[in-house]
Order: sequence, then structure tokens, then C-alpha cells
Amino acid sequence: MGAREATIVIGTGSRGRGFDSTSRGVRVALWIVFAVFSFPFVPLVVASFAFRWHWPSVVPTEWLWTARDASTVPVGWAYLFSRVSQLGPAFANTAFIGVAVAFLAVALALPAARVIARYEFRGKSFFEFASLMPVIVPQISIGIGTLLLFLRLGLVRTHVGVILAHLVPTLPYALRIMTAVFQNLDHGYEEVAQTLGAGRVQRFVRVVLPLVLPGVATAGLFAFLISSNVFLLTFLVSGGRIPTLPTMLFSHIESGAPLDATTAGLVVIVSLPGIAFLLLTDRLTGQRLSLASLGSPVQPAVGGRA
Amino acid sequence: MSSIEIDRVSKAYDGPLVVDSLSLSVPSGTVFGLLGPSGCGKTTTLRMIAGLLRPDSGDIRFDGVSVLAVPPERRAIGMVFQQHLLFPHMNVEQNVSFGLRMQGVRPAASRSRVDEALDLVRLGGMQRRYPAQLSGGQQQRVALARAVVTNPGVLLLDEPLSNLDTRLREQMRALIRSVQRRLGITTIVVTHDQGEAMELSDQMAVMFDGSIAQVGRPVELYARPDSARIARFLGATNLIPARVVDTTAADLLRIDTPFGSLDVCPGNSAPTTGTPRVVASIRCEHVAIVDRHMDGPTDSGVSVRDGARNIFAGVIDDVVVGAGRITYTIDVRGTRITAVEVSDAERTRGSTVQVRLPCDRVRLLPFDPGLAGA
Repeated sequence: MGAREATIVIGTGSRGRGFDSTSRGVRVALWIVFAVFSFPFVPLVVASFAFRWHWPSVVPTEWLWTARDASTVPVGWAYLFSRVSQLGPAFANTAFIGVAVAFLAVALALPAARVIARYEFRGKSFFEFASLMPVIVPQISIGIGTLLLFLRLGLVRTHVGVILAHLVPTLPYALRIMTAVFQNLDHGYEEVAQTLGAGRVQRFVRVVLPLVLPGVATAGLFAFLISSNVFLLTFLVSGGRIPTLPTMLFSHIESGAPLDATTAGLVVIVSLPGIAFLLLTDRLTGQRLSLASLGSPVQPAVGGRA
Repeated sequence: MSSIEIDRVSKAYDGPLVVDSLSLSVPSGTVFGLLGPSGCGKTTTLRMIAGLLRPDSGDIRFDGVSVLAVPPERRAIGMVFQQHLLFPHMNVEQNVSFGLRMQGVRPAASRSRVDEALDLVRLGGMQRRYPAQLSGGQQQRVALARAVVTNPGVLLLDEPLSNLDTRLREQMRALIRSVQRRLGITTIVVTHDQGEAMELSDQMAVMFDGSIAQVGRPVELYARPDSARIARFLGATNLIPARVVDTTAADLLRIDTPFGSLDVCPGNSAPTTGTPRVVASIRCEHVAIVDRHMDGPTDSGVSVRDGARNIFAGVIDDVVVGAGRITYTIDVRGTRITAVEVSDAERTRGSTVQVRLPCDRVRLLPFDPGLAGA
């Protein structure tokens, strides 16, 4: 079940083989880890079904379904799934932007990572440092700078603008993951392919790409996850015109109300892609690894790193 | 099958020359062994032949035609590396057929050739397995099949057995030899293991520090090395610092060693520098141990005079019992002589024996300050 898989992704980030999940002690430990990780979600899920829940009550004093008739407008899940909430467009925007960012980040990181992992060149260490800047510099600085630049370029309030802005915080991670993948990929595979008559393109398509695919998938998924969580950059560059799940969430929190059922529900929805994709990453990399296992060049730097 | 000529090839990575004006030629259809310690430039040489590295100067020719401008993928070579480097995402059939697919061979035709190649390495029926499901020896055999399935003109083996255990290594050697004979493919094998090089090669070269020290047939190199370093690299030997004292006798040469004077058959000297200081080399298995109570050598074919002269008394210092052979270290008047006997009758430590150094087995080598007495 989900518990084991999720924790393995977070914990090891390498070949799932080493884990003897049949051992009783290990299983208990994994469940404890799972419980710790999922603990914050429990009150959230409860709150999303609560109409009235005040301190110090352990459970809500009034549930949503008993209060439904008392309220004139839809609240909680009913509101979220109604047309008024704009959840649909926000979800679509988040997904579209996230996928685009993932593809772009991987496409840009892949060749760069290959060069960083393989070759020495002048200014390499500076480049590596520079590629980490977006993680070090506060996002507000990046956001304002990007906004000023995009205003001139006419990219403000466009999807393209938001996607480009999202590349800033996602690329460093994609680059890091892909560099690790390429560092672990034995150059000998390409050489052997070359002696067997494979040209540059064939070597890449038939040998390199399949071998780094788990890493590519991981990098893409992380880019997607980061993108789907970015609020500030989206908010600034979109000028509030392109609603995404995070901007929608912040507008609810902004209103100053305590955690109401609607906001709680939204938070649950916002968390879903992350959980889903973590599971997916494990699936993807796990399968590849069991296939490649012995002397495997591919040790995707899943989890731990980010 | 192509002949290979390497013509004064040099290569340096950032710094000193790794390969220094190296020349050698490999006749078509033969196996050439390139033997040397790690870092001697043998792998660099092989990679230049493959085209994976570009020489700084010199020329490499296949069948008399320079291949320097030809990239590896078009040199028609097969290469087996130290690691098997099977593509982990492909099964055995896909791995072996990779080269054929690159040549555009149709799948139907490719399949039968893959089957043939796998039969050649005795892995028929393994087509559907993945590399991770094979043992180390099987993986290396698939790598060999993959390298030869395209009928390359040249087969290059880069330490192909060094990751296998001893027993497997012997089987693999025999397999490589049989595959090579069957296909008649020109082969260069790079190794640091002298046994491997000697067993596999028709001709071999010993390489030190980027240059070839000596080329010849393996038996020749073993019996008639040009230097103490080569002698020692090719197998266990006693290296004794000596001085030539008498060259007047036509049929015998006399040398002075730390433990007495020794007669040497002429004609068994490396081209020396002409100085009287030399190193006498005698292989450990050629040192005969004679029990003390015997008056002289009893083995047939040895003249009494020869036997009488090169016999010295010594005390057994150390005994190492191996599989079917026993190694003795014998103290002969302060000089430690190592002798190997193919026997299971162990002599006791501390006992006094007589050691005979057959005059035709003693080879005189140029004096080498680094090795004498070692």
C-alpha cells in the first residue's frame, strides 16, 4: 500500500532492493514514518468537513452536512466544486503550466547537466554556482526583477510569461538531479555503442536516453511539483489574471478568516499532486532499477536531494 | 581481416607522454598481446586503435590504409572492455544485435546471426535474459558475442578477464582463443596479466612507460628477456647481481656472484651494454634442489661437469605449499634463491640442501641498479 512506497521515495532515493520490507521491525518503522508525515493532513481533512470547529474542541462542534440547510450559499466542498469557485480553471492552469515547465526544465537541464558531469571547462565552477542562485536569492527579488523585465517584453499576464518565470526556481533542481544522473552514467556505454557503429544521434536515442530516463522523469516531476507550488512569481507575473491553485489558496487565506472548510479543502486539493507524483516517481524509478540493477549506472537522485 | 600497423604513435594527456613514439605491426588474423603494468600506456594505445582517442602524432593503418580520420563507429572494429558494459535496458538478443541494427541488417537476418554468435560463446537460449540476470562470466561472453557478431576486421580486448575470478578466467581464455580461431579475426588483447597474454597471443609486446620494451613470441620472451625488468614481469625469477670474469673459454662463460662463481652457457645473454657488470636471471622453476646426501645430480641429460660446477649448498628458509607446486626460499651464503618444485613432497624448513643452477638456464641481462638483488 501507499505507505511503504511513499516513505521509500523520501528515504532512500536509490535501489529499493536494499530494503527488506518483509522484516517486521522495518515495517513498523516505516508505518511510524508514514504517520509522522501524514499527521498534519489529518486535521486538515477533518477541517474541510467542519462547519464550526473552535478551540479547545477535539472534533468539530458542527459538521458541514448538518449545517448545509442553515447556509444559503454553498460552503466547503460544495462551494469548491461549484462553478463559482473557479477551481476548474485554476486546476487547468496549474496543470498546464506545470507540465510545460517540467518539459522545458528537463529539455534545458539535460544537455547542460551532461556537459557539467562530463567535461571540464573554464568558468565551470562559476556556472555551477550561478545555477544555484535562484535557490539562494529570495523569491521576491527574483519576482520583482522578472516583473520589470517582463513588463518591457510584454510577457506579463501571459501563460508564456508565467512558464518562463517558473523556470527560475525549477531549473536548479532539474540541473542538480540530471547532473547526478549523468555523473553516475558510465561513459563506457556510449563508447561501446560507438565501436558497434552507432553515430551521435543513435547513441543518444538508443543508449543514453533510455539509461537516464528515470532521472529525466524524476527531474520533470520535481519541476512540476515546484511549479505547482509557486505563488509569488505567478502572482506577480500574471498580475492576478491567471489563477492557479496556489494563488487561489492565498486569496482565501488573505481574507483573514480562520481556517474554514473551503480553505481546508483547497489545501487538501493543492497537496494532492505532490502525493500522487511522489508515488508515481517511485513506480517509475523502481521499475527501471529492478531491470538495470546489477552494476547499474543509473542511480537516480530521487528524493533526499530536494 | 585487417592487418594493423601502428607507426610512431605518441599521445599525452595534459603532461608527459603516455605513449611515446610507439610502433608495432600485427599481421592479419593473428592475436597480439600488449602486456604491461598499469599506467604503461597499453590501454591508451588500444583506445587509439579503436579511435576513441586521437594520437598526437604518428599514424595507425588498417590494411595499409590510415584510419586516423575514420571515427570509431566506422572503423569496423569490435571491442570488449574491462566491464562488460552490456546495455542494461536491453535483453541479450537486443544487446548482441545492436551492432547489426546500426548496420541496417533486417531483423530476420539479424536474428540468425545473433543465434550463431551466442552459440559461439555457448550462450544459446539466453536471448530473452536481461544482463542483470546473468552471471559475471556470462555477461562477459555476451559482450564478446556482441563485439564479433558484425564480423569486424579487428577485435580489441581491453583487460577482458580482469573482473572475473580465476576459474572463470581460464574458461574465458579458452573461449576467446576458440572464437578467435574460428573467425580468424585480427585481435589485440591488452592485459597486465602475463599468463593471460602468454596464453592468448601469437606475438606479444611488453610495454613499460609508454614504449615497447620487447616484442616476440610468448615463449621467446619468457625464455630470453632483454632486461631484468622484463624477466621479472613475465614470471617469477631470481635476479642475481654478477660480474663477468672469464670470457676466454669458448663453450662457457664464467661470472662471479655473491655466493660463488657460476658457469653460464654462451649465447644466452641479452644484448648487454658491454660492461662486466650484469644481472643473472634464472627462473624459479629451473632451480633444481638436490638432497645433500646425493653426490651429484642424478637427472639424465646433464653433464657431470656442468652439474658439479653450478651446485651450491643452502638452507631452506621458507616453504610455501601451493596447488601441486611448492615454493622454497633457500639461503645460499647470504643470497636468497627461490626455487619452485612441481611436487607434493614437502622439504622441511631449516634443512640443508644443494641447489643447482643449470648453466643453460642462466640468462645474463644488463645491469639494472633498480632491480639487482631484488
